[in-house]
Amino acid sequence: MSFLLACPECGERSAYEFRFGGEVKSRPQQGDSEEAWFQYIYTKANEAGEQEEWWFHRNGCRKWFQALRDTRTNTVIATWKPE
Amino acid sequence: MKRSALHRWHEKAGATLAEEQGWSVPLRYSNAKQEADRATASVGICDLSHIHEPLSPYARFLIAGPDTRAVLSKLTSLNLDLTAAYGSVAHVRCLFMRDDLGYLVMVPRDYAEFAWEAILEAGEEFHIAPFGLEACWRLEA
Amino acid sequence: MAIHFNGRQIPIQEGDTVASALYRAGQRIFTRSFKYHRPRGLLCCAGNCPNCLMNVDGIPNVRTCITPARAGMAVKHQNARPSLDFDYLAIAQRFDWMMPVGWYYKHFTNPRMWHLAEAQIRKVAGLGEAPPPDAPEAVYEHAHMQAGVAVIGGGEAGLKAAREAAEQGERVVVVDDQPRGVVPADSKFSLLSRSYCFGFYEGNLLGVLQSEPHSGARERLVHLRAKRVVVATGAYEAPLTFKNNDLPGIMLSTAVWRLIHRHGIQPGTSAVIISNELGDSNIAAELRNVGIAVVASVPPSDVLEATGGKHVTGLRTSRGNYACDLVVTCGHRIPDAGLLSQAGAKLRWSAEAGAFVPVEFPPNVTAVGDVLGAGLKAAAMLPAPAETTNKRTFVCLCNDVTTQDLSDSVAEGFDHIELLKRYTTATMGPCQGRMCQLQAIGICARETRRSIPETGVTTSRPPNPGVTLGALGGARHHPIRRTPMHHQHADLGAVWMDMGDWKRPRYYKSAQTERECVQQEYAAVRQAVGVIDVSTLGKLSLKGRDSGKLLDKVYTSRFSDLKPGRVRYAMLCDEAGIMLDDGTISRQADHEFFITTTTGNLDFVEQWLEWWLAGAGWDAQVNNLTSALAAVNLAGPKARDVLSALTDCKLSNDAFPYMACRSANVAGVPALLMRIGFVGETGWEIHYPAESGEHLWSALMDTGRTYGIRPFGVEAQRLLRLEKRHVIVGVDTDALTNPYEAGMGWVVKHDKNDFIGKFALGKLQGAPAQQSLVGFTMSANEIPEDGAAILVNGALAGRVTSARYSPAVQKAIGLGWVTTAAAEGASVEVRVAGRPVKATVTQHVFYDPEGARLRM
Repeated sequence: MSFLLACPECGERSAYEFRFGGEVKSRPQQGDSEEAWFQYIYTKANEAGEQEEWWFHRNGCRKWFQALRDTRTNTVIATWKPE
Repeated sequence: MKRSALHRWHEKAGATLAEEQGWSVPLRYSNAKQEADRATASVGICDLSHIHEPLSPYARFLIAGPDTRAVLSKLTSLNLDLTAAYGSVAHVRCLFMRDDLGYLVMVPRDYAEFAWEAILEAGEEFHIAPFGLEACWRLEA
Repeated sequence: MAIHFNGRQIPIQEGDTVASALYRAGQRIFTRSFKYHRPRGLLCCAGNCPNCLMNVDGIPNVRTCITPARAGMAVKHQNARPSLDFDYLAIAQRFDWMMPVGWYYKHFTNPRMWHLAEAQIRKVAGLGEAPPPDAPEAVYEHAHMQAGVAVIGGGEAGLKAAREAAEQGERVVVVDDQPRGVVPADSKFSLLSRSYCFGFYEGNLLGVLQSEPHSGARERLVHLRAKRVVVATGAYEAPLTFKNNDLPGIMLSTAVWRLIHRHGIQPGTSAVIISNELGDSNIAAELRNVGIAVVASVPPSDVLEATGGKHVTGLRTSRGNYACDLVVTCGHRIPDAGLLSQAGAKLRWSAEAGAFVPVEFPPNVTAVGDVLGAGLKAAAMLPAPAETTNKRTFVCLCNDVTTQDLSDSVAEGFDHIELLKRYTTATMGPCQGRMCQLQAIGICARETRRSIPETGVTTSRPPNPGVTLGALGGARHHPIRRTPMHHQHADLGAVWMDMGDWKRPRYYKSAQTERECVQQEYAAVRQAVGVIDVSTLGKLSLKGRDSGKLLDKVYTSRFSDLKPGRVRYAMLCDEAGIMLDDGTISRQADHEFFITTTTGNLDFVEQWLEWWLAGAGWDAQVNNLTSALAAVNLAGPKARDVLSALTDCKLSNDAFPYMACRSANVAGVPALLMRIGFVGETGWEIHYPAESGEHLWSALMDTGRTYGIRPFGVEAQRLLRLEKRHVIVGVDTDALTNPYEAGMGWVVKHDKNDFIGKFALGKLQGAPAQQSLVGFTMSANEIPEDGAAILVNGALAGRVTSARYSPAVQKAIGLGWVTTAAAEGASVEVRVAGRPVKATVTQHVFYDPEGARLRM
């Protein structure tokens, strides 16, 4: 796992510098169904293909950003600051 | 008096210590001219932790001389063409800044002694040696 | 100038490799084979085969044919007893009927038998021995390089590509495995000589191993990151297959060329050449030039077998028998395309080249020269005909796999090339298939009646060639984190413990035994005053208008209503309601908080806060001050006396009550003081700039002397807090613990609209707990180990998380998890040294249950 990721703050760096933060998910509201919370807390899509995910630049700016990565090839298609 | 994380290291290395801006600093280890010459000919390292912002987590080293890059490339995967960047030195996260004399490396204070010794070890093949503030002033002159 | 070989002096010449020096001195057997202990001699002279592996200066499996000889080197043979020339283990050949392919899968079906046999097999088979643990360590190091273009291979094609790229202004690095000086230095590019690339990793990262980068290091692993990679690894020659094709004296034509031209060695007196190129071939002229008689040239299809015992003495062919002491094989030339394959290129069979050639390169990877396979010609019939199958025709030299073994394996059902590889171990030895892959594929194709392209090729994975573990490990850089008072602790006789990267005093050596030392430190805190370095606590400042909002969202309790100058206990849970960390949060101003985390969880908490801030658009900045601040906890009935001598800050109960915080100077150092009580006595946690770490510590120790102050370590702290039943997250809790089970439900404020974990904690609040964290008192003075079993009526009911001897209770006490049914019962048993000992479950705090001493 030595692919390159472009941190929006620091530029292109080796994946070793980052911590993987999992898939981007949207958090249910309090009052949403148990099923919605269950899905949010315990399940993962584990996409074989392009997936939006969180990354933290541990050895750099120490900020989170999001990336679109093809999990089959580790090709990083885009990275951006979360909004 | 305020102390750099390397205070004890300097003492043990026989440095002549003095006060500078309320900090105890190493003026020289043996001979300032020789220390400056070494840093001009190959590579040297100087503790500049007393140049300090309030509540800064960092110790500050100046690594100077023509072999600086070769030494640092043994300890970091960072592309040293960058003028200022976060990276790591001997697996310790740090901030690199290019300087006229070499590189300023800022490491978290509690890792400073470890990082300092790792840099000295990596620089052995280039005969790296620490230099004091007097040598640093000579280099800057 | 000489090297030592098995204690013998072997003279060396300029340009010698270890192997060439030995060969010149008359050595013909270089190794004994893996399984049958057959004699093996120089074959490739290019570092591609396993035939010359020896132990050099204590390092096993060194490829001596590419290792420059240096005066004083200590060279030893491997895998032969007592010597290479007389190896009694060669008797293994007589028992080959006992060792068919996959024999240990077939014989050792009983695991116990295998474990007995394994140690014996390892002694007689295998490849060298790891250096003993007390052997002097060689120096290994890593380095990082960035290149615009990396060229792998410094041959003609590689250098041409390097110069072209350099002319286009690229920063070019050339990696070449020849000794220094073979490839001329060129100012246009950087050259890594005596280096080979063993792996192509994602993002064009190349693993390059450089031998002796300078006099102080044995090997350097270069992490070479290139925008573009040009593979110019060329093609190498593979052996031909015929009976006894592994005898010393049978060499590849390229090896013979190297011995003659590089080393000035005449590798024999009378030679037979096996080549499809009939008539007067180039190699025949080369041999004659150095005075070797060429007895015959025969095509591979006519060869029946080589003869000889420890060295070839002749060749039997369908045209007649020839006596000779050298057999030169002109074999297939195979593109060295392993790196390209790792990079994602496809390998396609070319019947004309008699080889798999690389095609369809990924972006930013190209190849030049012979590795592309252009101009290569098949050297012999592929696959070899079935009648050549026998038990003495070696395909895999590394692991002694014969044509018979491969045929048998297919017959046994291992008919896919990847299965065949794993079952026979052909292609899995040190040469990684360089010598055997093509023949193995050929036999698989023939036996399964498929074509070679249908049969396909096995996958190349790094490292190929192999690398030493030392090189992968590199220099020993396990970071050490020291608090600002580290050296003062050392002066005081600290006995250290590791906590992550941190060094912390476990206790101070003030008496004979650890227990006595800890008791003294404990007594100081309970009866007078003690001071502990808590600089390792995570320390975060949080500033901004939305700071309170962030804390309310992330922590289980409420902080937006915390008054400036007050401190509150803080617990973090995840969305599943699992306890992640705890600490304190103090409010310094309306929009400014100070957070402490446990020593081990700082990174996590910082990232967690940043994560919930990411994209929220809130005005809140997290600043990690852990390295910027020293911290001590001064505690005990005399703590106020000591501190008041050093500060103007009013310390009375009214002015500075329990769970309050103040900013004040202590010994002239600006500090944040928090009145909290992890150890259960009146005390202050003092945070102050790290550069004054030693100064303030000295001031406390000097002032405290008259009050009987003692520094205390982690062990005393753990005992003190255990008496107070304060839970340590990660010690008394695990990755499944929720606050209700831990008896800390009071810290969850469900009346907040939203916070992390609210939904799950809401569910857990009403649900019956599966287990509970309880205190217990042992009936005897035996102290259970952490993790010891707790039994109810002889059945397992839980486990101990912490246990110590409590001077306050005068018994061993502890915390542990028990099933809820057991929590209500008063009497349990705890296993100590394998024996159940009675204990009483208690829900009470062991020491000062009302907390009166905290508020004194």
